[in-house]
Amino acid sequence: MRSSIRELARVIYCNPGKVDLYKLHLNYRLSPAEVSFAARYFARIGIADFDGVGFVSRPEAREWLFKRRRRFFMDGKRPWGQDERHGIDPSKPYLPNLGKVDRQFFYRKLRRIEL
Amino acid sequence: MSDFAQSPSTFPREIFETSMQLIQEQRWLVKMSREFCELIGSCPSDYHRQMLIDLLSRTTYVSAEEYVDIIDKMREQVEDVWNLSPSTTLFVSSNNKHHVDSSKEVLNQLKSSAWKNLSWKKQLFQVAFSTAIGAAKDGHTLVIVDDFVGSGGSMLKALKWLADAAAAKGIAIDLRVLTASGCFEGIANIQNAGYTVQCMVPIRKGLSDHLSGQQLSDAVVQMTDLENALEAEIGGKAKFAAYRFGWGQQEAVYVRQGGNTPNNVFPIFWWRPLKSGARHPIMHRT
Repeated sequence: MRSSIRELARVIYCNPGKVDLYKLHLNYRLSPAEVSFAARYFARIGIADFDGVGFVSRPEAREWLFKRRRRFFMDGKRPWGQDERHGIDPSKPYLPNLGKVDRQFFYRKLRRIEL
Repeated sequence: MSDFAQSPSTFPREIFETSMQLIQEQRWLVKMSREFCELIGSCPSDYHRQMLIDLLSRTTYVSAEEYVDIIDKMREQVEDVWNLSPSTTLFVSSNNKHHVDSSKEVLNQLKSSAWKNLSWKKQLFQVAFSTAIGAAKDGHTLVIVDDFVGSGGSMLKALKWLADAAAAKGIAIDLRVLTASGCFEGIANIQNAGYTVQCMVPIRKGLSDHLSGQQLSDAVVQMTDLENALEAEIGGKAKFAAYRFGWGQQEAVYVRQGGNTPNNVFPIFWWRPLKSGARHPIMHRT
């Protein structure tokens, strides 16, 4: 789950009703597209209304989130904590770090040695 | 294309909210989040940012699905509106060079569209002017196919070449232009030269055709500021002056999914190489 959805879920849960999406941008520097993505996620599910800028959670949103609290608030995975979470930029030339290459990889693979 | 979740800096509330509105209207920007934030973040003031957001909101975006429909409309134009016959009609792509070009791509898609008449064979679709003229006979119609017509300058040169070649061969042919999209001004230039033109998606100028008076003057100054900054980053190696406000000053704001952005679009949206490396432009152009 994207952390933007998790953060918006937290805001919806703590402050039902009208949500100031700009605070998500200020607090976490989430891009407008990312905030829009998270807002549309909850609008699509049907627990909020989103017109492109204004976001209002519906009365049932809090209960809906509480039922799914494990999924939204108790996931131990922290993908944003990984250094290379964005992966390699395909638009830039790629030169592998040869020092990190396991030069015995294919040798062991051929000889069916445990990798 | 990128999926970066964070912007390099925070924006004022007004810019954030108009950006959200823009993304709601122009869905293709969702996948260009990083590029969009970089572009907006690099602006010297909120006035420049707002001008770019307004300009992007006027973007004509053609999705891959819409493009298939456009190609089908081009086929309808030939078969049902112009009522051309396969026995007296030839097509040629507007680019007369050996390398691949989007006009050849459109020509190939047009060839492969669902023609009602089975006689529209591949032999009628040519990619070189010389072979098209060689195959043309007196009284034939030669349709020049293009993906995007900018100022119309290249198309008028192509039309002149074909008209001269037909005259040299001693035949009279009806030259017509069929393009998937194009700038109003370019289309008008070709029509004014006396040719029949059909453009499926005509594009208005992003600034001049939408603004007037002081608003237009301000927007022109702001865009000039941004282009000056871009030119400084380029380092003066390229002939940037010709691309200001788009080639031929067409001020186009047009994107086709999977296509090559025309150089008639404002270079701030597509210019990639810099002396210090590469930008991440919001529109793709090779």
